[in-house]
Amino acid sequence: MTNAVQLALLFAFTILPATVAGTESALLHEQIDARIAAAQGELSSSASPRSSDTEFLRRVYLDVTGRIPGRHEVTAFQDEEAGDKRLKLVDRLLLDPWHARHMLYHLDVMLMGRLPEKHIKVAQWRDYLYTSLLENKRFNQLVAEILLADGAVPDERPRARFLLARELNIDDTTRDIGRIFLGRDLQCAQCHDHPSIDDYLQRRYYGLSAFLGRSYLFQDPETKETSIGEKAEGEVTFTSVFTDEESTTAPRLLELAALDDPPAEEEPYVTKPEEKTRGVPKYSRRLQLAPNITSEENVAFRMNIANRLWALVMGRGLVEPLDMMHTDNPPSHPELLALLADELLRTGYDMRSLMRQLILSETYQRSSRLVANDPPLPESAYLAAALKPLTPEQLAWSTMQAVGLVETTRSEHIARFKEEDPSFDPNDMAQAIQLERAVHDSLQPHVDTFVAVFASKADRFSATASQALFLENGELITEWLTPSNGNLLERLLQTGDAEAATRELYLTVLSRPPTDEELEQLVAFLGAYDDDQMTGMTEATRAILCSAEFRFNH
Amino acid sequence: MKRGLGCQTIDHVLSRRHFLAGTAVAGFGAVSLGGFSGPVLADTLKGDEKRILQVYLQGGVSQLESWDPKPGTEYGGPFQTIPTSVPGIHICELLPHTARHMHLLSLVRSINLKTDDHHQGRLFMEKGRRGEGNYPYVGSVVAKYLSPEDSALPRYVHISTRGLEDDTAAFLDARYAQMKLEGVVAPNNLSRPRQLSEEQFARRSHFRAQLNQQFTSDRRKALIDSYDASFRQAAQLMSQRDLFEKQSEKELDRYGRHEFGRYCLLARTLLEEGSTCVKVTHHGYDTHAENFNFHVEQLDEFDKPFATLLADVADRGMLESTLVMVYSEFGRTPKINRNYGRDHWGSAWSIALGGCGIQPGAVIGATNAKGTEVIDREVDGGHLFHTYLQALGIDSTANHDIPGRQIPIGDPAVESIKELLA
Repeated sequence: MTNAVQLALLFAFTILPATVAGTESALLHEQIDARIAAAQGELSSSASPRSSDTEFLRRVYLDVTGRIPGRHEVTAFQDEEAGDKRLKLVDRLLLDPWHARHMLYHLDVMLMGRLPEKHIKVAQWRDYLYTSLLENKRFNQLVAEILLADGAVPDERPRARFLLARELNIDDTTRDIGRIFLGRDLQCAQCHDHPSIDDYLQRRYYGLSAFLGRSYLFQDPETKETSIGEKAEGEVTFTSVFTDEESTTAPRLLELAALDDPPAEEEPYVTKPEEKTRGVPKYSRRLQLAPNITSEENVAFRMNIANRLWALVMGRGLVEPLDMMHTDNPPSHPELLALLADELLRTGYDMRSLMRQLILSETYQRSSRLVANDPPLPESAYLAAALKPLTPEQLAWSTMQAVGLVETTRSEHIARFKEEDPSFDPNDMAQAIQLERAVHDSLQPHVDTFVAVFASKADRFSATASQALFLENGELITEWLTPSNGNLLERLLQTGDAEAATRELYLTVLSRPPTDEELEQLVAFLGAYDDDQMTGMTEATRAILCSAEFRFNH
Repeated sequence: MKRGLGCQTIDHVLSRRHFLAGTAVAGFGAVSLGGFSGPVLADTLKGDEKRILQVYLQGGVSQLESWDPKPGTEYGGPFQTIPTSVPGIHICELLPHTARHMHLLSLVRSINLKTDDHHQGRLFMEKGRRGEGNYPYVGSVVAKYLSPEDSALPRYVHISTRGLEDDTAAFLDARYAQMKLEGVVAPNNLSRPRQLSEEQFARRSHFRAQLNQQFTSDRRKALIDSYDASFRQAAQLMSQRDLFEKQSEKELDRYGRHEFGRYCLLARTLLEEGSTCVKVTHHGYDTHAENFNFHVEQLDEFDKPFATLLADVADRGMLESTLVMVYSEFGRTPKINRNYGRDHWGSAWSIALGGCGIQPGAVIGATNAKGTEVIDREVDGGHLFHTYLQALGIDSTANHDIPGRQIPIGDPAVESIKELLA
């Protein structure tokens, strides 16, 4: 990292606490709770109580930093007496470089859906996202940068992955822009007006695709790099399969006014499209997309990201599925969704500040234990915290954290950095980022392995036999459970006593102390391995790593 | 109440007795069986298990290029019909092998789903209910009521190349959910970690199950149940590794070496070994462009392996106890679009059924001369759902007896296609 970038990041972090805390929005979390409670009505008597400190700690770590806390963090948080310790924890974690990493993973999947590498290096694209998130770049700006990028400016090339990895395929790209930025899957409107959903009109689909219709992939004859060129003419036409009528449309965002081209100029090009030159028109339809999609008039843009952030934190969207926002599928809490969307507009699309408010709400902080569930309580009433399956990335990092791999890798890097520069201080923000990058680079191959096994195309949880086999029998985890280097297994063996080992195991893997019953149960399990303690400890750890309590954020 | 009918738990005896057609329910009285009487009860109780083979032509096969051809008409397309082993039944010339086994099958040519959406059509055909409602797929229903409690094999296996995500079990226990196999290769990590004995592995599994039970006691169960089920499926695969041994060259000569041929061969093995529902997906029928060229390729790939599988199941004497269904989420428009394609069309299309409980060689319903609408015996996914289950001897008019709820198995508003049942 250059000094200039480090300085910039340092500056960003120095001023951030104030930004995160916000000013007028201090009570937003109370407004959230009020609206959720109002909608619950009589059901509110079945609302679960507030989560315990350890429940909250694990949940916040997973939601903000994408991994479970270390065992020392668990005991420290339990012991802390300050009344506002939850608030302080949230504010600290939101500024941790791990938070940027976690949000990178989330946004990467949201934007790219794990598409393979094409034209742009995935590592560079992720680095662009990571750096943007460290700066808390505003969501509207991030989206604008992504949609404006043509891949021709070397420094900005990574941002073009959104369009280039889709090869500018007009159908895929139009559909994804609708789903990801507007919360609407317009695919059904492609062939004809959607038979059952009034607002999915065919012209909206083609109005959106008209922004991109004149753009094309251009390969530079010398560098062989692919970027986006555009022509100054060409209309999007479509034929309804019902009426056979042919229609045409100018670029148009949902119900906003159509954007007619300015009067034609004699020379419409800055650079004429030729075989060896990339076409650049004086008036670009594609470049109208970013300002229009992020404009204040386009309410769908902020409703969509508000709903997506809510779903990320709360485990389900106010509109479900997330890409089916339309009049036949209204939000469970319309006023709340509008409130969150307005907050985003007011704060200039500050995702970090909105997440902070969501997390500070009592709605978020409820226990996942149900007070009653007969008859089944509606999940959309938010009476208890949702069970959220860990993403492949969360599961990978949490497993590595639990077995001690994160800690040993981190210590190795700190030692190395200190050797290079004895004043290295992992508590300094710029150096913390440097350290996080180093740990990440060392362990990312394992994260990729988890992604290959656990990633699912669907948004919903789908547990498969091959995933279970990976956890139960896979060599990677077997290797991680071999005692070495101060890792979990070595520590467990050093305790030399089944009770102490049980406590250590629960604190480290499940981020809480065991109950008396659990203590007894695990001591009994280990008792069967008196003559082979190592196998006993390994098996106990592996069983807990395979447990639902570990697999879910609860 | 008698035990020892091959079932391990009271729960299962109850459910079988509730749902197998014609069972003496007098002792329970909780569920009315609505007078339905099937022919299969005695066999089933003797331990002759019934099962279902689903061949899903994903994307929507064209009825005009398969079961309901209209050669020489405005929308008929370029292909001719051929006679089949059933006098009077003609199907498209793209299915010569299947035509020779037509006497084992029947056709329903009058399906109108009133939806042209892939997802909605698929859900309607699988759940017998329109829309997104939380109902189990036919495979999960069959797995619940027909599979032995101690089933060593996964009850409901889906062999498919790529993932369509299905929530098949809905409110039924997650152990009846579909297990997806990606092709015919053994999953990774089928062996226990080295040096771990079977007993130690079992002890760990037991401990894990215990932890989960404690964790679930006061939390929402659905996701955790599905997580638990994935471990049970894993255990079943670990004990059935030989399923994935190399497929015999001789059999591959008969079935074909392409993916679908291999899937059909694995399906036969799974049916022989005792899976209750085996679903094989053949991808790639969504032919918005070049419908005719694509159907030549697709059906060429489908025809021989399917016919071979059907004949093998029959030769092994298993067809009387195996319901076979060849289906899609919808058919394709009679009208040919400007890209020589046919588009989505749920309004007048066909499927093939055969085997257990199905009258062989029958044709139910008809479309008009151009194939643009159903003119006789219109049915939808609801009628078909009742028909599949009743063919298997399950009383689809009874209720799922879920704690605290009684949920009709099939849509009470519609009935089975009685004339199709044997």
